[in-house]
Amino acid sequence: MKTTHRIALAPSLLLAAMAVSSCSTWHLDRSHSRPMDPSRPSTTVSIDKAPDNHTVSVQPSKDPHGDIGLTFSDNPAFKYFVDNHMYTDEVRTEEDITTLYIKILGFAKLGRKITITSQSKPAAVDDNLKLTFTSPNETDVIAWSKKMLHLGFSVTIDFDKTTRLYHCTATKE
Amino acid sequence: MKRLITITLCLLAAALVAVTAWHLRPAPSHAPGKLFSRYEHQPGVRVGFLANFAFGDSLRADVVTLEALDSAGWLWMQSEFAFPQLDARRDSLLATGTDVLQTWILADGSSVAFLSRLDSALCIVQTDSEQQFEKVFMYHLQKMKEQ
Repeated sequence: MKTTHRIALAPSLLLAAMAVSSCSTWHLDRSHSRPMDPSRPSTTVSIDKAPDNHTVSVQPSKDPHGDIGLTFSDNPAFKYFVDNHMYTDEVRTEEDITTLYIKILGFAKLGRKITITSQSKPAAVDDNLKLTFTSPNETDVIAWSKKMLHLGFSVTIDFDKTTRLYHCTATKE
Repeated sequence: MKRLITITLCLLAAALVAVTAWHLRPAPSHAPGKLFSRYEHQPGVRVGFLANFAFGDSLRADVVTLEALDSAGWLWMQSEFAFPQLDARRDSLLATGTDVLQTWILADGSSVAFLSRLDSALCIVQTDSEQQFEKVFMYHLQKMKEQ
């Protein structure tokens, strides 16, 4: 049964990092997706995965913007390591995701080394991965889509005339 | 004074070389290419080649377009280019006349497909540069916004 969660950008990126396992290295850089503000550091999420044990290391975004949703096909349990000490959390509800995210982000902000392992079947999660992004700004839409295309996703976009928003979905089939 | 003249002459020579190189650069080829040749006789599909097509005011690019003329042509395009699936919400949008744009990188790795679901038309652009890709993308977004 599919579960859909619509949450803020940073936790979604974090969870996407956990769910996706097809790339050996990802670099999602949001520095060009908004008008440049020299006072604000660029936001980068880098994910490195060891190919044999489906493990990802995550540096969470500190400057979340926008709205991203994540869909996955089951309710996976996540193992994560803080400075090589193992923790396990089950993620069944949106509240679980938020709690997990806050915990991990808290550790990351303290400069601790975080490693996350997804216990769900990587191929099944990958097949059902769906990321969404909503923005009124064409430049943002293009920047986000470009990243997704380079990661092997296809992107579907529609424009809501009422809200003047572009709704984008990246899927990997 | 002598040194100043030498520097000026060197700068002039460099400028002359640059201008000559610019004029002697290879002209862009607007040949339809393999993609067009492969599909131009495909039944149920109208295949077009737009040489130097203007995307907005500042970008021109060669584009191959494929437009389904019937349901058989549409089905062939779907399988040939591995169209991404549509979710139920977007299916409903199409039914009310709202277009849905889909984009993905083709298997060759150097072309990007832009599919207008409402027009049943596929636009394939060689992405020679990031700037070109972004402008083509912007063109499609603006078109969708203004429909």
